[in-house]
Amino acid sequence: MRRALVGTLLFAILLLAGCGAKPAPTLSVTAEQKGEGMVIHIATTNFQVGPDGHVHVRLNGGDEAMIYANTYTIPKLEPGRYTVDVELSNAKHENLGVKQSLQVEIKPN
Amino acid sequence: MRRALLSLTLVILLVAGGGRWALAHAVTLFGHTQVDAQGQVSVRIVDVYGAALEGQSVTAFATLPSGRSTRPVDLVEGPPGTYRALVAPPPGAVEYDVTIDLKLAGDLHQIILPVKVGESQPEKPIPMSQIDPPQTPWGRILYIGAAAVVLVVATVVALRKKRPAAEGE
Repeated sequence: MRRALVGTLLFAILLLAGCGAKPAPTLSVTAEQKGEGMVIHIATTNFQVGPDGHVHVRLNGGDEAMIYANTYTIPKLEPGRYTVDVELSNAKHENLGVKQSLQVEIKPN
Repeated sequence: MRRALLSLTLVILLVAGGGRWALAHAVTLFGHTQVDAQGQVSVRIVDVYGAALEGQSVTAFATLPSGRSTRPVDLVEGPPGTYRALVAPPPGAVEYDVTIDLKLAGDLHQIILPVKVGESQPEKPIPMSQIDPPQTPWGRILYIGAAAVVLVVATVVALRKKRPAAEGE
């Protein structure tokens, strides 16, 4: 009887803890040419860049850059078409599965 | 048997304490460093795409060839991604190293720059080396605690072994 009570209590605590979970974050990314480079605007909901983690950005599947702001400015790029991959990450560098990919054309300036 | 188990547990504790507590996350960063004749250090930190790394906490300290170091100073951000501070050389130094540390997401990125007193260095880009993440305070406590336990247990075992031998004489 006592075991059943303890089990029920633990189950109730787990349920209550689950109710307090944060809603899933969302991501909206836009990018445009700026001068000879590119500026990427990162908007999120239920995720604050900095306290909740950071943003991983890759160009054309290359090296990963870590972003700690909602705007990321690359000063100079060769003209051409770029695939920009953006993904939210927690402080432990674990990707949260919230990502967006977009294409940007950098024209000769 | 019990001693073997105890030893194994202690070895595991020591290995865990000394090991990494988080996986390093490979990030390529470059520091465009400059030092003037007065010891003013300037570093512009950029990532692999040339974007400036803004709003970070950057510190620097000087180290003599003997290994003696000065206290770390906080570099102040001027233009976005450019951090500056006077890193005074240790008294009596002729040559010294300036270590620039950037803590980023639990990882430590570092540049070590050889400097001669009174000589300025023009700007040059240097890849930042990414080193093991600093251990958490709890990790250090665990490591020191495990080392202390090993020391005490080894001392007790050694004394117990020595006593019967002494009594037999």
